[in-house]
Amino acid sequence: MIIGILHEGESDFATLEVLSRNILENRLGVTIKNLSFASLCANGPTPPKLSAAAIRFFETPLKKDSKVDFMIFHSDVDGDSTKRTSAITLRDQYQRDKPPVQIALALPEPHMEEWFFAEVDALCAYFEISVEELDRIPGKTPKDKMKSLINAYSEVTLSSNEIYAAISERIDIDKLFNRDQNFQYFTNDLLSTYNAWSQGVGR
Amino acid sequence: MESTKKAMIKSLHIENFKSIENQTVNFDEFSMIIGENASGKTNLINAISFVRRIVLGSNVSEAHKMFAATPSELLNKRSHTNVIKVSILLGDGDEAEYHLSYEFSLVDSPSSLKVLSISYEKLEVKNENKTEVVLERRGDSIISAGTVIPTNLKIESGIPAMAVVDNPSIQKVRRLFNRIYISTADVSVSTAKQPHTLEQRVIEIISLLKKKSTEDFRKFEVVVKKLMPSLSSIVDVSEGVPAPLNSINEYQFLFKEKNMEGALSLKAGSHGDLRTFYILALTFLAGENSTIIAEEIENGIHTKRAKDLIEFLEKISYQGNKQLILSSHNPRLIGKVPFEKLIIVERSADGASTYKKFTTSANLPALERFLEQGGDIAQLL
Repeated sequence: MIIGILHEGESDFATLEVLSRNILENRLGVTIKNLSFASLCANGPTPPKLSAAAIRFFETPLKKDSKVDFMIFHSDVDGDSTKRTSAITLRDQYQRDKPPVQIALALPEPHMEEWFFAEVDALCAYFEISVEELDRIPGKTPKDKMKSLINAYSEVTLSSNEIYAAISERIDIDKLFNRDQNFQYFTNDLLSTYNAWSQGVGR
Repeated sequence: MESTKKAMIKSLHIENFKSIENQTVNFDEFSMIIGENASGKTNLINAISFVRRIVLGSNVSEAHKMFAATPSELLNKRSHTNVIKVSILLGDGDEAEYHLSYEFSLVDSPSSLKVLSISYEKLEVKNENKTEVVLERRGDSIISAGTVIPTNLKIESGIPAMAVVDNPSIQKVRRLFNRIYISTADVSVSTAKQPHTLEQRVIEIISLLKKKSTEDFRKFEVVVKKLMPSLSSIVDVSEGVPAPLNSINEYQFLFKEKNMEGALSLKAGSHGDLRTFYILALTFLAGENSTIIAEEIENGIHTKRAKDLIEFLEKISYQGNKQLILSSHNPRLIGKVPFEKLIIVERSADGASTYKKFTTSANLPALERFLEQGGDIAQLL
């Protein structure tokens, strides 16, 4: 199975790849064989790019040899709720126009790094710092704070994509589900999208 | 987590140098100079490089040849004077600041060509609230040099007083300038004859890095392999073989690629690969309280690799207590650069280069809102 992820940046892909696999396997209680992910980076805010990108994903193989089976569309909400409604509208419209296509929405608020700070145990464990130390990290937003954390506390040879993936691996899916409403939406949407696909609706 | 390091080059003031009429530029531990082609990015770096060469022992007529065919090319064409001013404020990584100012005058010579001479030179040391003049020179006379030498000493117009006066503060300034690494042709990291080709410079710098620290060399190799996924290893064929003095073995380091038999020399590398090696090795090699300046970081390098490279350079510099100054003309590279680190270079309608920071903009609150709502700063450039 190939899941396509349209995302705003490479570290968002690294995060969603790990979280999506863990959500599916944790909630379904099985190991999904041959699960892989295809990446399409918008290099910036995504909502207006959904339709064109979705067509590329479903109808044109990208870096993978096969077409994707379903898709995750990521958009940071960035404190602007119209981004969330715009993403939902675009998804609904796209699925009306192309009924076989299934799209799950990942809409973190304000952005992906918020999920790391919501599951603070994983973050502290990865960087080997206390919650008190974490509170003193400079930065206006979770994204800024992650940048500061990475610069100060991570091994110099690790890329931010590797660090995001490693933190995501440590995240307790159930804890995060209970702490962040947007992660709840994503989890539920991903599971229903998977179920629709596996029941043949998505084929 | 308070940062304890202090930027080495803190600010630069320039008047009448090339496209720059009168500008002051402040630098952080990490600064990214961004602007279109011919906006004035290189001229800013050239001004630093020009002063660096003079402080490190070149006379003015030698130093200018790196940036201009004749001294007249250095003078801003709209200038109403024949004087170029450059002053630079350096931090020493501790509390002291060194303020070095130069005025260069374009004067007639017997050969009818204009020549550049040092008409004014001053070094001040600021420590806590105290400022001390270490050296002051006007024309060919040193008018203040502490108590070290007679103040009536006459010096040649092209020779910096820094070269003939010696005291601990001047030695300190020389050491500070010696720790400014500029990743252009003007790189001097060895005592050997300046190598000519990029391949030779890459070999030299990797070799220096390996000699300095096998641990840093290992980290360099790890990062290089992440930036160039097809690379499987770097082989030092000189291990155990005594190297001849003052020469560079162009085949000292060979590179194994995943799908290729044997090992390749750097001759097989693309320009972008060589620049990636060079800038990365330079950043690992530079010691604490150094400044690394890399011009047009993206040249020959794909945007994705350039973004990853910048991220690694920033982290290596941060953790190694080094200052990093990059320039670029690609707005797509700045996605991960905090906006307060950007220095925007523009050329006005009359040709003057201006250097602005968003943090000093009257529209800063609006800009912050724009960015908080996911706006892309590249759209503003």
